[in-house]
Amino acid sequence: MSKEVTGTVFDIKKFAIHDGPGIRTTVFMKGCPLRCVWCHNPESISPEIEISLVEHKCIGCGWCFENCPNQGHQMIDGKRVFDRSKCIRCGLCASRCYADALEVIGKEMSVSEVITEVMKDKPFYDNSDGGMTLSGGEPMLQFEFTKALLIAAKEQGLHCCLDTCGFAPFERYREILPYVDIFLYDLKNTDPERHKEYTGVPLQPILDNLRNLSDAGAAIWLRCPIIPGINDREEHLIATGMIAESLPGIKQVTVHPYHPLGSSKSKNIGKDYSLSDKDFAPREDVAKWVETIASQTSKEVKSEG
Amino acid sequence: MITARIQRLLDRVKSASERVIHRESEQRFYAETIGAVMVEKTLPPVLLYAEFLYKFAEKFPIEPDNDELIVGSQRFTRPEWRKYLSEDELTQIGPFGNIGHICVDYGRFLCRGVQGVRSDISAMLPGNNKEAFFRALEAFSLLVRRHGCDSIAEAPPTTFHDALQLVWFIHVFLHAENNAAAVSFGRLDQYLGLYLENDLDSGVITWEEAFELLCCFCIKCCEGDESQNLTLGGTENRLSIMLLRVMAELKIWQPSLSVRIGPDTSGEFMSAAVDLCAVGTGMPSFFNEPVVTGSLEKLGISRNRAEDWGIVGCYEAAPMGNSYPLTVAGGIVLPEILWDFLQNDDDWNSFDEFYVGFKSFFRAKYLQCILPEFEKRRIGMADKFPSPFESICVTGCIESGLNAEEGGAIYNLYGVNILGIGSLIDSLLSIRKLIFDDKDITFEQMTTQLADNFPDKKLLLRCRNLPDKFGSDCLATNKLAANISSFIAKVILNHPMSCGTRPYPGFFWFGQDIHRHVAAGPDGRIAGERVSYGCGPGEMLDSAGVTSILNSAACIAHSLCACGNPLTISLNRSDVAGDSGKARIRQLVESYFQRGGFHLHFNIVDAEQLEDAKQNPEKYADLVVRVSGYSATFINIAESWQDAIIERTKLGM
Repeated sequence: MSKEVTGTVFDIKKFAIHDGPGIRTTVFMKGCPLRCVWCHNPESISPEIEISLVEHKCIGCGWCFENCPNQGHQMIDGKRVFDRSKCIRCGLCASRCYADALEVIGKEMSVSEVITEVMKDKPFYDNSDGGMTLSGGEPMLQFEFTKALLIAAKEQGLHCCLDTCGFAPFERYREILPYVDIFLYDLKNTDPERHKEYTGVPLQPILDNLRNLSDAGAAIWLRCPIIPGINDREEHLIATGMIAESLPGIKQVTVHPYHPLGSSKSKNIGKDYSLSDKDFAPREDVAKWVETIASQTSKEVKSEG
Repeated sequence: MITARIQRLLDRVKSASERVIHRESEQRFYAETIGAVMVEKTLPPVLLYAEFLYKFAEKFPIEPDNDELIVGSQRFTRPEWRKYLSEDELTQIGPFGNIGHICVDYGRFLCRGVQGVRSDISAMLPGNNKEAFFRALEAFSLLVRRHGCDSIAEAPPTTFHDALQLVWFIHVFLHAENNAAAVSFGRLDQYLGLYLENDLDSGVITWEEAFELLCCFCIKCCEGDESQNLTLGGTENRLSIMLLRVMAELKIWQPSLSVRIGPDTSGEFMSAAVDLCAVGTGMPSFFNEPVVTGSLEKLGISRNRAEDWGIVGCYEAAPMGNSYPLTVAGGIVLPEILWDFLQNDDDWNSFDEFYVGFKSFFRAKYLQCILPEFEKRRIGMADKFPSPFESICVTGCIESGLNAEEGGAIYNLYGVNILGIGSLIDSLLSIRKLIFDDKDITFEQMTTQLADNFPDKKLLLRCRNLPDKFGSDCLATNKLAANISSFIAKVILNHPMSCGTRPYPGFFWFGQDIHRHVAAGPDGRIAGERVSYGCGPGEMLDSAGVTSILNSAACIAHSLCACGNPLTISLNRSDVAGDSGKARIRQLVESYFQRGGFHLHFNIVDAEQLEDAKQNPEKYADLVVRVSGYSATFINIAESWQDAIIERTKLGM
């Protein structure tokens, strides 16, 4: 019974216009096998439910201090302290935080719950050739859930996109191939050593899956996050363009310039953020990246968000 | 396709530090003319107003301008004209000025010409109205002659240029009479379309010449009143498309274009409308043709007549040319009614009981207090503000012998503008959750908190941050929205005035979200904070997406609200860039209208740009944004309005 399958979702974003064609709803799943240093969704990395604390919203009502079953929230020397080592993620503090300072990131949802939510915008999909996009995190990490969602979406006649980093066994991609209209496939670095250094995983399986998907007849939009000082090197941009040209499955390439909005999110979930010195890339640089990639391929190359 | 002439006229109108109508000479002349006429208390009001019109037409200063293809300046002054009169004079004159918001039968006037209208008036039974109508018509003819337009001073126009000029003169004169606001053109493409088609086909005018003429006309509109609505579409012709293209090129703020979108709308028309929308001056307003038609039929108007609707003012629909709709005559503030209801000491065992009780309270209050006030006001108009020229132009008056204020038009309506449906829904949700579901607070505690403006900050936050507010596309909230809006609309629809005028509802009240000081509410508003506007959510909605807002707003009872159910959506410029961006606009309109929405328009901006414009106005002299039902230059808007627009832009509203 595919409807009983559940998964951990941390956001369902409506009116998603940069996650595939048309107007879409993007379902963000928790958990990712990569550890990209520039990640702007740090709350997506751990598959576990987490508690986020936005300190400036706290009004000091003290309810969480008094009611946390494990004394995770405390006042020490007049300063508010959240001892995450004590946090059992029960979510009680967040459920009564009316200031919205404490929030639970990640929710267990069934396939039918997700599809019901996604179906609310059906007229928009119908009028724009849009649909549902699965993203995260890495949806392939919750494979059964992802597969069940795709099957259920297809039962409703929805167009489906899968946003993936490509780091999963190919047999799994093959299994869901009939249900995915477009793969939004990330390519983070074409140099194997740099790839391992900045994402934590090897490049080769990702390239192999990309090639195999193209050979299997999948439609692919290549997504390239470009971070100044990390992968804006000409060799990478050229290699990206060449890969795009060589694989018939790849229909277009989008460049995603780095933005620094991940830093505050990291702080809120008690994690460090290593790229705090970086800022939005200037427009001329972005144009140059697009031009360099485009010099190697006749397929459409553009920049987005 | 902007000619040198148009560029000159454009530069002049954009750089004008004050509009013609605001100049001291204009104010003074207007005041003196009124003063000279209105003190003659021996004359009945309708004749007094006709005399005013004659003196006005006789004497007002005309500035010849050889560059203009359409001549005549709009005369509609601000209340500042009153300062040129003494206290005594002001008391003697009494109030002057009705509420405007009308669309007269330009088309009929064009067909008949002044001489034809005169002949129609002569068939009236003798009386003050007949005399006043004659006098007002003579005044109008004099106005036309003084501008050197003899060809249309008596005979009906035969060319497109003459017809357009005559429309403009009618428009000018309507503004002069009674100092009215939001006098709307209605379905200009319908009544002028044939003139253009004939002239184009017979070679009297070229496309380029017609384009230039229309540019002149639109720039003229920028000299005057803020909300001159002009409705296009339904039956499309070359004029429909041309006007959309003119406004896309000129990027100016008037006239306020509305488009009728329905199953017969052509791809070309929709494309031109979307192109204009993407320009970002806040036009056009998109109207859902079958829904608007249906809403007028609910007033007992026949299908044929209901189909011939146009928009008056901001968003109010009315049958064209033969109605006296008084679209902004009445107003209700829903959060205030809820406040009154909460002052009762009653005990409610369940939310359902409470809700039924509230609905009964609303009904009783409307029928016993509010409607009688409306009726008194309506009847008072007949005595105080009879408008002879307007009455000539509204079909039904000459025929019935009554002026418009007396009820001479074929359709007599009374707009009931309803403010704060979103805030009301959120307030009901708060009450349901906090008092009945969670039992965290009693009614008494709630009313005390509201009266003292929420001393309990934690409670305030709880109310403000309550999930599932209106606009978040929550099923239960949407059901409540549908139920309460339908109930309110029906109470208003089902009770005509005893004088025969039909009140008709619309969920918005222009400007009152900014100006009206509303007490604190269970939705978490503190006293004086803006309530929700139109059919949109309150501002405490936690960043819902555009589609969620549309799905939620679609649940308001649009099919019952001919007086206008507006919804504004803000989109970033980057979201509407290029062909995919334009397609997006069309997709949003189509999806919302499929769900039954009444109206949709877009503010194409970004919040940062608006903030910057506040700080550095000199960089943004050309920035035009959407303000309720019309567009305006952002830096000229009052600060409280600017703040509202910025805040709502951030929320996508």
